[in-house]
Amino acid sequence: MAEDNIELARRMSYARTIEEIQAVKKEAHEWLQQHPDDLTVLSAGEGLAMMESALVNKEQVKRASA
Amino acid sequence: MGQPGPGRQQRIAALQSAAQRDLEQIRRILEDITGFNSLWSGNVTVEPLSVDYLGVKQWSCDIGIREDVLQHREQRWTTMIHESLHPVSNGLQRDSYSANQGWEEGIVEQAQRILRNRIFDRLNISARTSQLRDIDRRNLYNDFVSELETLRTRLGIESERFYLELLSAPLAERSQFVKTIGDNRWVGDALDEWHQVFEQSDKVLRRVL
Repeated sequence: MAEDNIELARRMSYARTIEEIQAVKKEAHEWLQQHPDDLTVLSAGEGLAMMESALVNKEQVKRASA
Repeated sequence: MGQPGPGRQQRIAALQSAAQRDLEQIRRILEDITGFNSLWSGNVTVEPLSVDYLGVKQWSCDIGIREDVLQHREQRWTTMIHESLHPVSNGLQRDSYSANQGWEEGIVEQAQRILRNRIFDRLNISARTSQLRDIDRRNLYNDFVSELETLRTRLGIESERFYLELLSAPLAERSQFVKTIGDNRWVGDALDEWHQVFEQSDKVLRRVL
């Protein structure tokens, strides 16, 4: 588990597109259903949430100005 | 825990009220220690267990913390201090964050670890060292902290000074800020060596593959 959760958390922090974020977010959510106290994955969740919100906003601004 | 009903609503309200009170105190202490103004909105939300993070600083500058985190003494304080450091971090905006995640999260996390005992002393809080160590050990942001420590020790800058200076530098300029310190210090082979070390750490801090 130790290796799996670090690998997942790192993928969460490397996600840079909305599609990548949504895919890894689903994976993290499923992982956390099985391992609710996994602080490594939960600590990566903050960055993922902030990144998703930043990218969604960027898309909205782009669409509004198109 | 997790069941709907008036008891649960009361429990959430009590968690929210206590977090609000303690975040106000943390804000005052951080502003005092750092000399920076906090942009925290003053709002805190108790997040349900369905969210996949411990805490978050929203772009509205509200703070959200998961309800189970608020019920664990050490996780509660470390998360509250971490999230309270984002609003005193200079230039934290969507674009700068997405391009420089480690330069924000690593700095905020290490500043949390450096400053927390002073905050605990000021608020007369007792925290279990073993719990704090366990929380630190399991944090993904150790990837970032480790690279920042590599750069800091190479530059020979005292820990608190390094992290507080970086918090006060605009997020988009932090990488260049650190690189310039080394560029101004070394020449020749030593400068080349600095560039190698810096580039390797910067890649991790920016999450460049």
